[in-house]
Amino acid sequence: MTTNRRTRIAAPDQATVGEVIAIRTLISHPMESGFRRDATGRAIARDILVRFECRFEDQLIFAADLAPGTAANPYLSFHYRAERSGTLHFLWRDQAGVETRDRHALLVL
Amino acid sequence: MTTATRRQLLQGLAGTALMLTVRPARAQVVALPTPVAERYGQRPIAFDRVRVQIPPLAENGNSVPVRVDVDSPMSDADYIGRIDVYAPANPVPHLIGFELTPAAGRARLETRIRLADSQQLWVVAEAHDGQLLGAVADVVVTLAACLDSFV
Amino acid sequence: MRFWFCSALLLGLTACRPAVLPEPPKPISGARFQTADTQALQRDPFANPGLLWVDRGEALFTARPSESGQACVACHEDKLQGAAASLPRFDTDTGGLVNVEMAINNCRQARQGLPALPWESEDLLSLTAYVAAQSAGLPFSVDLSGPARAHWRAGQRYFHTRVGQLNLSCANCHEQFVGRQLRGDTLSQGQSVGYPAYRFEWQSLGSLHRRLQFCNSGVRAEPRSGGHPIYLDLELYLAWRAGSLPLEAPAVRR
Repeated sequence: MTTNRRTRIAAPDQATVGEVIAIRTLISHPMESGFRRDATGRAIARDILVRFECRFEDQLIFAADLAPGTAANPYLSFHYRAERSGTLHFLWRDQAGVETRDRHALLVL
Repeated sequence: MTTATRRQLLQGLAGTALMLTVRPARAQVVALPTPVAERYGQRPIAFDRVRVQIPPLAENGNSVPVRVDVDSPMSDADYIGRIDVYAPANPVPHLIGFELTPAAGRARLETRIRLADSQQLWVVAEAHDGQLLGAVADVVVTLAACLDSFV
Repeated sequence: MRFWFCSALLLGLTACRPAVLPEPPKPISGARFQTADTQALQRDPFANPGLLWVDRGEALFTARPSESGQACVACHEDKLQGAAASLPRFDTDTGGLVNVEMAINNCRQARQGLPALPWESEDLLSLTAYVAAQSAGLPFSVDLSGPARAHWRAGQRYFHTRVGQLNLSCANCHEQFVGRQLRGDTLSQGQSVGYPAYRFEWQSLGSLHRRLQFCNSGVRAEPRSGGHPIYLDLELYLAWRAGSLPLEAPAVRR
């Protein structure tokens, strides 16, 4: 099941073999920590993303285990050594298992 | 030094290349905080290969930018496999953990974290052979002027 | 004789209304009161969190709302560039001020056959953020002639009126003590050019009216609902007060 979370990916469209590129990702999510209280004093239930994965085709490049201490609308920046052309796949999974996906095509010359 | 003057001084310093503040390799590490000790036990941690960049004074504890850089070739034979960030004063001290593979090419990452209070942030990286590398950073978190009366 | 002369002079002076508006104080954007990191984040065309709402707003603006309905962009081919800079304005149909949120809802109801979006809802924030972003870099150019003048005056009066249990006016903090510390915060001029803005305190994008509600509760005054007439008057006054400051929505603030 996909969500209507907004995602943003910044990565070059093109790279040379062996070039290490920077990848930046952003996703809209309140990352409700579970420690806030509403106006009546009731605790607001935790609702967070727990996992992020970046794969090149099927190969896992980079992953993150998110927690209540990760800021809202999580921003992640990391690197990837380009070897061949293909698609970078991005996955965010929340605590209920709901997934959001995005992708970015990379041409490697 | 009063809080106001300190803030003004820090803001003055912060005006230029704030994110390039480098923590000394052996910054005042007193003792392992509980979450770090529980995770790594007695394993030695070397403090000379990890660099943490974080503002010394947080604009707001809800969102503090942090960059981690580990000196590593990130080759198949020599790479960093794991980086974890801890805020011992937070209700859940483990803020975020990263899995890296040699394909990442560089052990440098950036994210935004939440800090509940002023504290010493801990970053611990684990190399392919299990060696632990660490860094600490002191961050001051102040209270906002007016607190929201509703969410 | 001197008594009558002085009285007449005093009466004459107080009865006079200035023919032109007073000069706004030299405006400084709220961005200048944030740390360098926060300013850099606002300028970052990728990582500014407010852009997540602008993205959603663009999608809503260009999508057809229903099979029979028209997308916003069908009429507004220019994507409403510069439109937000002229709001709020006096609307002769409604007999009151209209701001961006109200203009969006009026259009939805009158021309798209859609219901109005609730204040501070994700969709209304997204559309407002998108429309406001189309005026980024332009200064406010609000029309203060005719009936709008009375609203400007009401906004000015409110700005200088002490309210709440703490008995503070907007001017007390945002004119008298600009640059001073209020606990961990440095007081800004309270300019509105960055709104809707992503605030770390909210961990979300929010409207100007939400910020005004926050100001009210901060001095322990009763917050009004979004779209309240006094907030609209204040919004008009703030637009004038911004002078030549360029709009910078979505701003990033603490």
